[in-house]
Amino acid sequence: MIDLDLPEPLMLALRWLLLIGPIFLVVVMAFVRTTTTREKIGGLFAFLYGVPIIFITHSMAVHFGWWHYGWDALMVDGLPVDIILGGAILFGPGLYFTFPRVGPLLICLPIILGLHATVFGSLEPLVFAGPYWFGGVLFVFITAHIPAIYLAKWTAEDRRLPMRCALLAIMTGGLILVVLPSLIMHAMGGNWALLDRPVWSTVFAVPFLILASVIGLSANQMLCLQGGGTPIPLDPTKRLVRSGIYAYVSNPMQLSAALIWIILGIYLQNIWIVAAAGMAWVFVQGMVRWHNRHDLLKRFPNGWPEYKQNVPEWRPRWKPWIAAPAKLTIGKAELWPRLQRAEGLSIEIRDGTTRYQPAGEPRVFEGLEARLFALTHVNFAWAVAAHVVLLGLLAAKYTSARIFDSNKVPA
Amino acid sequence: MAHDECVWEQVTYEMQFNPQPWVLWVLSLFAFSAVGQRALDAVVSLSGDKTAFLAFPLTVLIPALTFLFLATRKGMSSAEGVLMQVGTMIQLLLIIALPGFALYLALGFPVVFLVIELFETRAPARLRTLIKSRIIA
Repeated sequence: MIDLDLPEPLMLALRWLLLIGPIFLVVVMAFVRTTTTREKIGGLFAFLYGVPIIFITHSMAVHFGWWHYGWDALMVDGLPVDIILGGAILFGPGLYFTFPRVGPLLICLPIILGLHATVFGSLEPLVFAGPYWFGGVLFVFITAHIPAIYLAKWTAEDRRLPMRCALLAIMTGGLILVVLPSLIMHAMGGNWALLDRPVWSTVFAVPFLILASVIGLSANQMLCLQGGGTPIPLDPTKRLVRSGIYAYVSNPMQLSAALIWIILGIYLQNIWIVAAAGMAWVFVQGMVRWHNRHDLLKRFPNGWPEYKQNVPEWRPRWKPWIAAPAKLTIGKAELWPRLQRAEGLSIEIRDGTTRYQPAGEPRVFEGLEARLFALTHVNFAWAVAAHVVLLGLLAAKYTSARIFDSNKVPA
Repeated sequence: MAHDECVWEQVTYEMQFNPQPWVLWVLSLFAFSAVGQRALDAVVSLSGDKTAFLAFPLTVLIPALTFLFLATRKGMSSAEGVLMQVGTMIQLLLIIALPGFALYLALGFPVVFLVIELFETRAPARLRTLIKSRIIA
């Protein structure tokens, strides 16, 4: 460890540099390397992933005493916002544009060993290192920086769609559950103080938060599985998705965000977080409808208008709206009574592997997955319940296929 | 040239929309003044509380760079796109000029798009045409 004693003006300049440096690097590298549109989108996604995850991991660092920051400027929950953003730019588009062909681990390892390990303890009053700071740095790199660069790489190369969607879901969750509520409380008053809340209120809030999250996460999963794209319009789906949770409500992700803010606001007893649900409505009215008109309507002129006419934006239908029936092939013994009341499901009784295929969509599901997808045709409650299991089941299947047999990884 | 050797080039013209030059000039003038004022505040703060100096890159430079990026965007594919461009530039200008309200303005960004959506879908046609003809080239 090098023990430096830098004068305050130099530390002020360093704090400027921690934000301006990465921006400059990104702009220069984007021009020098003539990055493609997909590479730029990858860089943007890496930045968007970095912001909430760096914010969360650095909050943990401050909470556990791995390090803390000096000066009071631009602090949100003890974290300097400019350094968080600078970090998200550097360890996202910055390093990806600079070393597009080098693996994220190889990019980050020299920085961990060469920079953090040598000078991290000498940056007071910018940052005060505590015990276990090196473990904290490793934790931040493993959870925030390395996945961010992978996200940029995979997006640019248009591969590993399930991993991209998973990282984007983590990003969205971090923004909705942590970053935006923190900013709202910083602006309007209030605090997290999770450990001081009554246990009963936590026990009461958590299942509702999980339920609200499932609506958004299952929408993300459907866009990946059936749409062949991500939830972010810059990397859009290739097909119009109308099955699963989308058969009940056309804005499941915005609905999920609004419900999360209402539940979280009640739990934290903060009216301003509840009011953020109104901002989700504003976002839908202002941005999503515009996107629908200028993108979805143009790309899917036959399917989109009919879908919009039948599926509401906010209040889910109780029964699904299915444009053309999906096909379920199932043995008589396995036909659950609930499935006989399913809508838009053409059931063929035949012994053998249970198979489910939505009309006009390429993917066929078998076994338990097929039965769960068939359950999404019964009603909204069964659809949410089925999606809870599908989220875990499909993620586990993909992960195990990646680890044990890469030839069987779903496309 | 024989008739069957003729090659017909099919050209499709796509409408392109831009803000009127005067809109860009006025907004840029205001933005330039606001950035100058904030730079002055930052330098003055160096002799005491350094918050304004430390906050300068995030609260002034980034919004100013975003403003510059938007101001140099050309050829929107719809008139609504130009209104969103101008609306976002005004919001960024307010963020730079009113540091005490910057966080509220940033959190309220979706309102800009709502206002434009309401303008496009609910405003009286005459008013819409009048305003658009003044703002959009």
